[in-house]
Amino acid sequence: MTFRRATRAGLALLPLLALAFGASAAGLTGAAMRGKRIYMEGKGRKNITAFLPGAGIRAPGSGFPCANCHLAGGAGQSEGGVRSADITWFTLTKEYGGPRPSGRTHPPYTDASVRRAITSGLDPAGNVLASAHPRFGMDREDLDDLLAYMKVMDSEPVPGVTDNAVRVGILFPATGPLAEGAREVRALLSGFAAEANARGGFYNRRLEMIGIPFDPFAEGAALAAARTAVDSEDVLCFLANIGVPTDGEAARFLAAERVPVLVPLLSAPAGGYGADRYTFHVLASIKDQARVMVDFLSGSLKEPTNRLGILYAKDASGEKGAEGAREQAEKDGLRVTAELPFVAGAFDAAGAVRRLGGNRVDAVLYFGGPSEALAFARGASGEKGGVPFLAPATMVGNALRAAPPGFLRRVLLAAPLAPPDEESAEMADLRRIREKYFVGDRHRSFQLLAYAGTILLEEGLRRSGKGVTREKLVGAIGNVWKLQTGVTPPLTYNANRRTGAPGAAIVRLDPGTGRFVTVAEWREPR
Amino acid sequence: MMRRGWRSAVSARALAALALAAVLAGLPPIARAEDGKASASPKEVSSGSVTVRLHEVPLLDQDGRAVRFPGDVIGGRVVVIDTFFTTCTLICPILGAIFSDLQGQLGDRLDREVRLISISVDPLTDIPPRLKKYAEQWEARPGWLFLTGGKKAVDRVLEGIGMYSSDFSEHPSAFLVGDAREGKWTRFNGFASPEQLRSRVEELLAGRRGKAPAR
Repeated sequence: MTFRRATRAGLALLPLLALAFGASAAGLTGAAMRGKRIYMEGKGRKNITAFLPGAGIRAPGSGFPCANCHLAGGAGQSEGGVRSADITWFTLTKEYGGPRPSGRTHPPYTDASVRRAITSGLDPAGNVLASAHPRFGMDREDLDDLLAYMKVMDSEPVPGVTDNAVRVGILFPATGPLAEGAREVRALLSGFAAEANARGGFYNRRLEMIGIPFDPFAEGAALAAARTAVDSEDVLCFLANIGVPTDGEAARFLAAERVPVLVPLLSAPAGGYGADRYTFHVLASIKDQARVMVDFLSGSLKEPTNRLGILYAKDASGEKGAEGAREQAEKDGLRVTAELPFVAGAFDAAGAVRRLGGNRVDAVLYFGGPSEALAFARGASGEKGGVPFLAPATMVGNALRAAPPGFLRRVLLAAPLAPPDEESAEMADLRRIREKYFVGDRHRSFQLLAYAGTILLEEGLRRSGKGVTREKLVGAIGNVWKLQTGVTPPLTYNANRRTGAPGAAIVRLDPGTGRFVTVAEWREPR
Repeated sequence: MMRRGWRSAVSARALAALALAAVLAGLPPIARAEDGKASASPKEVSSGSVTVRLHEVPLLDQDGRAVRFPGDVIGGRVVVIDTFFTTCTLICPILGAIFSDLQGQLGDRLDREVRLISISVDPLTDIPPRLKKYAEQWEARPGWLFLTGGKKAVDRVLEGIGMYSSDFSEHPSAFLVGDAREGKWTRFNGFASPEQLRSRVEELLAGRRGKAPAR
């Protein structure tokens, strides 16, 4: 009897599953979308309250959303000696006569009894649920929405993931100065994917790299391209985005949508706690580079000639750079005696030279764009002596090559990417892929970073397992410790750290050979 | 005693009974206490007098200030202590809600006479800015301290007060209410209600004034 009932239930389930899949593939219904917000955030159309029977207190529902304990998807977890139940619809409605994993025995749940469990804390047999389970006060319409979502939440599709493929996007400028570098990066990533797929892919899924071009000269084009890819649920995550400012609207959109972004090919303003949780950088943030610059100076600048001047652009990178310099100066016993912020595009070079030139400070730290750096260099080149001028290479690029030779001698750059170990197996792999897939060889830094990104992606996908979701991927990569990439310093991430290798070398440009010469080896800030 | 209307429907005793389920340290993870209806027999949140050792260590508060435990943290006050970690989603929000309610009940005695002390069991992750945000989430007022520090220092404090567990995610859901000056400490295992904690706080305060607790 029980067997026959179970079988019949199983058979009856097949069309239901198909239906659920069919419905979810087309996206969630309006009710299920609202229900998802209740499940994930504890917020409905009307006010939701959570009564905690153990403590005897009432709290806002937003403090106790279902997903906190039962997790996204509803599979439950164990923590602090408390186990939260599997509340997927499949499990709740299972025909089964014996004791459930909760230890209680009860008939399968129905719509009505699930409602009662949520509001009154009773299972279908009238047993009291665990005291850690809140009793929720919520409107009937909100309850209906929540149930609509619970019925489909375990079959909710993961963006960019199908039975046989996992798709990764690369935002890149179709034209302009970065287009050629972008072509090399895409060729490299496609080559990596081809190699990985030849080895069997990831959990029976092929890795597909999806190039998503945008017009770098059109206002809002990167955001529009990112939005289209996210709204169509086309990709699981992004890798090696090129020419997308890390504090721009496209990056902010992706962070707000909780889309993982691996190794964008630009430095972030800051990478510690408070940085965007969903973006994983390899290279040191501007703030960390500023710290290394100050650490370097503290070796030579002693009281009383330990006065620092900070010249910075009024944008996220400039301000974070200045912040890092200030904080580290205090740690290292240096004095910040002059600060000069400027608005990009409205830079008064002569005024800056008057404030910071002529030995009024003992070193100038610069956090701004290339053109202003060059303007300052030209304005200050006539000075006698002249103090060190330090800037992050990722902000000023190659611009200072054009500086007057007299000024160039004073320039020191923070270089967050250390020269790779040419003997490493990963470098050999990179060279092989580069030749086999006609990648080219002009944008080596981009390639090294993008390749480190593929190694990070591979690690993340393997750790996430077959049931990969965006949250699982973020969790997996967020726990990587000293991952050897062979092409960058080892990568470490944790809850408070979103840059994998937050250090820099200090280099200068040799005016004779035109090559960069290391002045201080790569190191993390103190 | 029945401060708010909604409580009148459910007796405090029955509520306290539910608190035990699955939450007491040492219980197997699967809720056993509620096998069937029969198990609804009343059980109290267990509480009892305990001996604690307040080891002297340097810690950090939610503003990143260096504080000495127990000197700066407790001083001459009556305190209620719990443990938490900011990435905990299952138990800690309940403990937080209890402190949040208790903070309201304490009114202007908070900080002056009484302090609430939440100690992170995951100091490696819980850096001060994280604690700060967590404190803001609960609208913590001055007098509710969130503490972290070097792992060794924090572990030593936890050992001394009997709250250490080798796997921090299995930290006990328990409260300590104590008067360090008098050396009187009570431990509540499980989800004590804010009223239970407050009444013990008031007993301790009254004990100091040398008179019977006001009921």
